Amino acid sequence: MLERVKTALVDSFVGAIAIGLLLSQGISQIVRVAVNPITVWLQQRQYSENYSVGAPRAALIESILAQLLVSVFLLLIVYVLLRWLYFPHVEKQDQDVSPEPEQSA
Amino acid sequence: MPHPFAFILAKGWDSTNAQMPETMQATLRKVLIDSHVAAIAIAVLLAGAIEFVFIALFDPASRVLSFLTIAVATNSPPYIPRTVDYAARNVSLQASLFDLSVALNNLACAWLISRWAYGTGPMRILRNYRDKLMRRKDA
Repeated sequence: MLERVKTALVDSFVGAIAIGLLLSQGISQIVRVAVNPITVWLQQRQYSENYSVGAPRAALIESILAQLLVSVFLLLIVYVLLRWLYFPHVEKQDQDVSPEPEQSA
Repeated sequence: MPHPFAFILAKGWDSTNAQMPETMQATLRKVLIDSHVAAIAIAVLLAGAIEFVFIALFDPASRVLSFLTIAVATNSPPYIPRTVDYAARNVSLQASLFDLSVALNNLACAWLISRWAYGTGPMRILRNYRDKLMRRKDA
């Protein structure tokens, strides 16, 4: 059953499209984590009169951690799906190829 | 009836063995290329960049259009307040700038993936894929 699902996902390119979407989301999240401090700094400049000194820093760290977790989770899903859909095929062939030298010896 | 994506399959997952070296040590990069995942991610990121550029330009463009429409309809320049309120000064401009930064972010990601996976720019990759599709259509 799972093999049929796998074949369908690969042959219809649905798997590749889904992984591509997740990969793009994951990588853009990581870059957003790097850019986020600049955005928060700009906002902090605008609203600094409404916050105490510690509040923006806490918000910044919270948002960075949340985005980092989301990106790691997305990339993990990408890797698991890639391994499931595309890596096993290669490994299987690897096993098929390996007995040949033993036979010749 | 031939498979609609047979030309891709011929170079992709089904013939991974033809592209892989004898040792069959499939690296993540090779798998991403052979499965076309990298190309799809690049296309999605570029589409996202274009979308956010449009979103960023939509608000200022609609304001300009509204200004011109009122000017034409009333046959006189619309009222422009001497003092700009907080929202007009900061929030509207910030939203556009933020959308532009997201678009730049997406472009940078597309460029990074394409450099890492293929070693060339994202547009060249997509052009190659387009050429493959065109060749397949002609054949």
